[in-house]
Amino acid sequence: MQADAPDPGPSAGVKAFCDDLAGAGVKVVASLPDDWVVPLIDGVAGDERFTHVRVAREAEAVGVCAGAFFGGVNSVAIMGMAGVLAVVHELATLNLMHGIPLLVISSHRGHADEEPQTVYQVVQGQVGAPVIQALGISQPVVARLADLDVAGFLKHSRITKRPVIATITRDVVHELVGDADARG
Amino acid sequence: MLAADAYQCLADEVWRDQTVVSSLGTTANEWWRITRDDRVFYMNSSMGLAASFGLGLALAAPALKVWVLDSDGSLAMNLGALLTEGAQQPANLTHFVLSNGCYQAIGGHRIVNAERMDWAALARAAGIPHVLSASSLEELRSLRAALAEPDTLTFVVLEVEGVPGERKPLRIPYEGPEMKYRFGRGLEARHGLQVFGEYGY
Repeated sequence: MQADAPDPGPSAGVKAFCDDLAGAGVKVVASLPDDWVVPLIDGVAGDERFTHVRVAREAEAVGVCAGAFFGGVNSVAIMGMAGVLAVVHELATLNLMHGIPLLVISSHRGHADEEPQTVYQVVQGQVGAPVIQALGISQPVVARLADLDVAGFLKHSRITKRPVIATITRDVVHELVGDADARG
Repeated sequence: MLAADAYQCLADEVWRDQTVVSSLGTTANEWWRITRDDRVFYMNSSMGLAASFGLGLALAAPALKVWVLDSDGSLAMNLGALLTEGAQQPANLTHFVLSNGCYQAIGGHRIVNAERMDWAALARAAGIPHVLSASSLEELRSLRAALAEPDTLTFVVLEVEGVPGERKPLRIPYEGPEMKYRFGRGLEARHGLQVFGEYGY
């Protein structure tokens, strides 16, 4: 009988992401997935350097990260763009009202790199950026994993006393799962 | 039991060194009236998020004892928070819910399904291991020992009377940024946490 193959562990991209989080002093990560950010969440969930808080609704992640800020640790919220649209009220009435920093890492959905069968993501791409802009929140679009500058985004959020919502493109997702070369 | 009496009892007879996050409305207003203390984050917005905020604080700073003073209207807006607490099980978190079946701050408008809901049962079903309740000052006083040094995640239902028509307007004389710095600086001074960096942000 053939033995099960050993778990290869996280991809190099996911490991690099987790190392960046830890290097930036992140200790708490709150998450609710869409399919693009699953590799990030799986990496965090399997890494004992982080307290990973799975939430039932994205707004919880906003609250958890605000509490973590007052606990003296850096935190990150990971969610899909649908989640960002769902937390507009909390971003406004907790983070913007009080000047509480927050880094959200989200998916950059609904653009040219979206797969055809996910046509239902298009509306999120159409309204996501305008909504974020209307909130006066910075939205760096991250097209390469090397540009997912967790420490820099956290610092910018603290200095400006506003959230930063970094959105990752599909190319970053491919880097994270380790098939960037095979994508063609 | 009236909300004001329940909170006065908690403040006078149970509250010691716990860091408190209060939800908006009657809870924030009454707790402010009684305490006026920078050990409290009086959340005057973000309805429902006091529970999540308190959870994040408890997880980030395990040496703190954290109280969340929630209300039934706010918790109804963030019921998933019970599941998240049940998953995380922070022993340093005690989550109170003030249950009056109504939105008292706006005049007593009824909360959905107030007649049938059972907060203690919901908390138990979500995996919260220690659930208490009190519907009179005598019952609340009987919980003092259990509330003083809980060694596990605890949920407490405070059954109080709604007062139809009575509004509880906001009386807290400072707003968001000042709340942030008062609360954060208090945590730094009392507990040695570093909330803000060397340049103040």
